[in-house]
Amino acid sequence: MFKKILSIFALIPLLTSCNQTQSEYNFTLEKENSIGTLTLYAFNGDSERVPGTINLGHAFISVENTSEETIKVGAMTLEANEQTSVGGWGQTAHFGIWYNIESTYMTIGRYKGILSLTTQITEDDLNNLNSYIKDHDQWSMFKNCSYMALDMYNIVANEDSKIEINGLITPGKIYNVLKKTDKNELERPIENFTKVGYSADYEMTNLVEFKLR
Amino acid sequence: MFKNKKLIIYFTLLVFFLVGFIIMLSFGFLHLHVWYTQPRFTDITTGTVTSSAGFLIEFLLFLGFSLLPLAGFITFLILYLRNYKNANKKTSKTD
Repeated sequence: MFKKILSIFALIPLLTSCNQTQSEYNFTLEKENSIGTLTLYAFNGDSERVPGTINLGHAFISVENTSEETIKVGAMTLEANEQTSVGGWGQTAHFGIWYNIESTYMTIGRYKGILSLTTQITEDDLNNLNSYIKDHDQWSMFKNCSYMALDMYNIVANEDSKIEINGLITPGKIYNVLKKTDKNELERPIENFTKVGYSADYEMTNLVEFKLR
Repeated sequence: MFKNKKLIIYFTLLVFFLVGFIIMLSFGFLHLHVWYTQPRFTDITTGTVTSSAGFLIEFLLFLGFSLLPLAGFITFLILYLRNYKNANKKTSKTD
């Protein structure tokens, strides 16, 4: 009898580990009248970690214009089929939202093993996203890249597809959630992007342009 | 070298804190090196170079936390030297 009870307890970790391999989230990412897509990216830093250093990774979003019209994402103007990455950065030139830093980094082979989740967006979603970007052009240890990226994703996501993370939001935590979704993508590229920079003013009319050194 | 138990304890602790200080400082400078070698962007109009402050903040954190073992090292060094002198005085008197 004692052996039987012991064997049942021994099976518990095995059963729970089996459950973890299945996808736990089944999100609805399609929308009617969509004008573009928004992709949430999470990189846990594993492939770029120098031994002995702390590399928490990075999280950001990208927006693609799938309509025929020109759209605006923050200070960035996107023609049809153009894309831009939007990420919160503590850069020495500007602590806040930057455009296309991540897309540029991807062209030089960074962010290996990055996971992403793509949802369609409507015109209303884009307006909500733009007012969020306008009011949150800042970066701090707590309102970091992951906090911004997750907020921007949740603003446009369907009710059943929102991601809730408690405590300090880190790229690793978002990565672990994305890993458990059945619609995640590995190393989704950001192609057809234009300028790199950050918004020059609160009205998001101009971009302070940068180039990779 | 060690004339009493206290001296042994102080010496062990000061070495422990010195090693801790060196390790913390090494980790700090490793982060500074990573920060220095990461790709940077240049402002097209002004030519100002920008870089992510992440690793620089981590360097400053390690530098700040290395002050704790440094304080421990200095404290036990002072205690060790004081007791070492006292122990020497006592032995010279008895001699």
